[in-house]
Amino acid sequence: MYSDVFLLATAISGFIALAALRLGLPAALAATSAMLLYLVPGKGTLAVLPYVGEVAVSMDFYKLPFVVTSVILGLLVAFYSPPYLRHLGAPRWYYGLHVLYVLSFIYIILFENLIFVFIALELSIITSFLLIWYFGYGNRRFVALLYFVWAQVGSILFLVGVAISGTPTADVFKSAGVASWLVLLGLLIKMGTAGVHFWLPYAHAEAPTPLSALLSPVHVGLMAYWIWRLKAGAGWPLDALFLYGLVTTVYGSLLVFRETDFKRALADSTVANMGLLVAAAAIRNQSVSYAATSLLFVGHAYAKAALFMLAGLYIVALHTRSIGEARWDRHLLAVSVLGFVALAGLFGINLIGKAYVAAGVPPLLYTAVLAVAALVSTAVYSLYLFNQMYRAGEGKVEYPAEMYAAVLAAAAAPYLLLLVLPLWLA
Amino acid sequence: MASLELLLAVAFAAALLDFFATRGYAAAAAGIVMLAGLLWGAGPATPYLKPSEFAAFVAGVYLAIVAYSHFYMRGAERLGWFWGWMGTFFGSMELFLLADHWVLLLLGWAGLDLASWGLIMTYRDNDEMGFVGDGSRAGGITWLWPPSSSAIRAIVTVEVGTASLLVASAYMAVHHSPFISGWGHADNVATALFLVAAFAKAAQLPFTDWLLTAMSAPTPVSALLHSSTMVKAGPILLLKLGHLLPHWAAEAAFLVGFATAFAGGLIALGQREPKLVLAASTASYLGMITAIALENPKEAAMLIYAHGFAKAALFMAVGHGIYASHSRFPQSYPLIAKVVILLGMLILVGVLPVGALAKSEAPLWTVAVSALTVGYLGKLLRLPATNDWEPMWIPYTALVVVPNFLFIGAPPPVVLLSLAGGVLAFAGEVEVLRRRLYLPVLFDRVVPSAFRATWRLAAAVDRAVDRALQSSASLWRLAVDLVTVVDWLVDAALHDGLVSAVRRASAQVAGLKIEYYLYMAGVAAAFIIAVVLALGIWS
Repeated sequence: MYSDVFLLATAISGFIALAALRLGLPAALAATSAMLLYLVPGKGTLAVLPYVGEVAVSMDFYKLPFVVTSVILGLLVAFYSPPYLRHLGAPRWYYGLHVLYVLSFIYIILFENLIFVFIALELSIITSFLLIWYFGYGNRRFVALLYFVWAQVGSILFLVGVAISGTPTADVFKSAGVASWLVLLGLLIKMGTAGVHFWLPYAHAEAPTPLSALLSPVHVGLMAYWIWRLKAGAGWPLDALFLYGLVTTVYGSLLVFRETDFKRALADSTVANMGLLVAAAAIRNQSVSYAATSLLFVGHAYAKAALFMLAGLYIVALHTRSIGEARWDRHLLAVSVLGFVALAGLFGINLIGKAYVAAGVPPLLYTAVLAVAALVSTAVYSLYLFNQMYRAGEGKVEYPAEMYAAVLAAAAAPYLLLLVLPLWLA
Repeated sequence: MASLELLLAVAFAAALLDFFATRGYAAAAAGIVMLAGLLWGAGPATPYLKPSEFAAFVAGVYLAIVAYSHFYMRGAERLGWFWGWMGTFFGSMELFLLADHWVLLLLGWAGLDLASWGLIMTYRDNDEMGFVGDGSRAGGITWLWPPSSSAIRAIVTVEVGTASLLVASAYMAVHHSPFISGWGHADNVATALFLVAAFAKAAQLPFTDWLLTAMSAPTPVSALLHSSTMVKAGPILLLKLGHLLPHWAAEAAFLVGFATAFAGGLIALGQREPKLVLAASTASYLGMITAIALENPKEAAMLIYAHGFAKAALFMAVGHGIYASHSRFPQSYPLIAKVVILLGMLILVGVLPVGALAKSEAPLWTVAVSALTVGYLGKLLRLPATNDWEPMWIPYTALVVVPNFLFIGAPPPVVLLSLAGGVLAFAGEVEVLRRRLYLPVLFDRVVPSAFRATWRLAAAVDRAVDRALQSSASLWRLAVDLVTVVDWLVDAALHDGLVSAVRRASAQVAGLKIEYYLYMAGVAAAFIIAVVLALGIWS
């Protein structure tokens, strides 16, 4: 029974996560590794509750890319973190919250009951809020509260929408009118798409960088899974949502050009990529939509995590967040090329993801032009950022090997995953 | 027998190996394996690939350029970068040619973009050999492009085409088949997107100028990019899909190709850097090929071969001069290089057999383009010869000699008229041609200014809304204050005012002499009773 597997995995990873509050990195790595247990395929019921209904959990082929990416990036970021946390002077209990945060990603995807998805969202908000509050940059408490309020609004709208719909089970989710719009608005706020994105550049840029390397690449993108999953019963205007996604992509891409701060530029770029993910999830053809959503989510997650970790490496090594001051040697140049090319969607699974988004473009001239603009704009801002960094010049940079190894692994992933593409798209 | 899939795997594995080994031996091995495999008749093992007539041609030219590179790049820096991207370039072009699945087609096409971007950045930004231009000021811009500027110009321009191809091919895959051989007729929107893709890749107007600044790359890269890969993907795409496109596509391709053929030829006449002469010449010849690709595919294919052999050899010959003089502006060329420039010119205009075959059915207007060719290449031939026999001459000489024995045709007499263009070799410099019809002003000033204005507007709007939202925090505080005051008032009214009132009332009551009032009440009651009784007796 999958419910037994789920409970076992939760007991092990949860217990070790609590231990990580005291023990730090080794326990964090062990707890995150234990989350691999969730990958056993299956479906089970944990309980049947009054008003809430069946509390089911499941792991299937469609959830696999989202869960695997969350776990692997959780491991990579934990492995990357020690030098950074020494730089911050952060205590060991950071790792405990880190693990609970990663665990929340798994729950967001595995729960089939949308009210429990809300609870998982709450866990993710609380853990990330605390990490920003205690370890963020600049006016971190203001930013943490800003993030908390926006994230709560998104989650609560989602919850209220689900409650009004009266169908909290994902498989039979059916909503209309206000309920439908509340669910969608909640998810879009959580993603930070155009118009409801104002919190995102603050939170993702001012969070401690290891958190940014999960917040921006994984957390916000997971909502695309639920748009993809719920759209059949939600009655959303999918064509309009698709175009809104493309507009968000162009808008977010334009915002990148205002930044000189490496992390803020990456945060703005997340707005653009969330636009692509919304467009992907809104494609009517469910299999094309899944291919686009999963490929873009995974490709963006690895590329963005790699680049946030690279930004963190510069913070530790050169004490700068300015992309114009980021010197590089050939090793750093290599990971920059890998990261920015993937983020641009010039190659790797990101390119294929963009191609599947293109498959959803209605055959009209203006939609085709908008799609071309959206696809070009993500490439242009990525190349612009790379060029800024490249022109900063070559120089000697001393950095911890484990940080570089984590950056390299994440940056190479979008290309290595091309090898499993036939299985993925089968 | 080796399959096409295996050959492609070898090509990409060689690129990776060369990236780390930095020697370029794997590139040579991959070229030999690919060429041998294709000539041996290697076929696809899966339905995802399909044989292409151009695949062996590309492998042959690549092999010659790899051999040349071993001399030209000797002592150069960043050799791992160079060889890695060269191998990727080659593998991507072969993948594009052999792909019969839309995803593989896109991977090949995008791989070309990426590899050309990387190769253009081979030289460092402070290396004079990677510059394009002379640093003069005109049209509000400085005419000097370091490699990183050239690279971003190139990839941003061609990305417009790649995004167009993404949308068009995805549409065809969804509405027809994921296999290109299963595609039906393209509608107007898809056709327009396919054309934009081909035009951007083939540096057709208005997407021409990236090709000239791409000359920041080392000469072997230019030889490969201009002869058999990258830009050739544009017209080859048209050849692949021509039977699916409506008739108006041929007319559009003709107009754009025709205009580029003459514009490129004229721009070439005005250039001082020999590599820029050849780059503009490429745009010109690709214009010629694009113009006829949809009307006469067979003729276009032969032009692709002839131009490919000639242009690769021309670049390598000019590169020999650059290598010998250590200057982007060589004032002399090795004798053998000049001979090859002459032979290349004769192939391009259609005098030598491989060129003659290509020009056998060419329309008359192409003679005028050929005349321009004789003019700009004649300028190079006028420079003095030196006695330099570095072995790099062998591969490029082979490229202009050997094909004449493989593709044999007699020159149509009319092509001889183009030789009259030799007089242009003695013409003076025309500023507007030297300035490339001022196209760089469009790409370096007009478009960036418009783009800057757009993102600044977006940023300003975003900042205004953000501030408005943040200022709403003070409204929130005002609301909190208001609620606090009301709460205090109600609290005061309920818990203070009422209690006090009760307490006061109680104190008042407590202060009264109750027995006095009871006595008075008793008297009053007795009085009322007495009155009532008296009235009763009375009545």
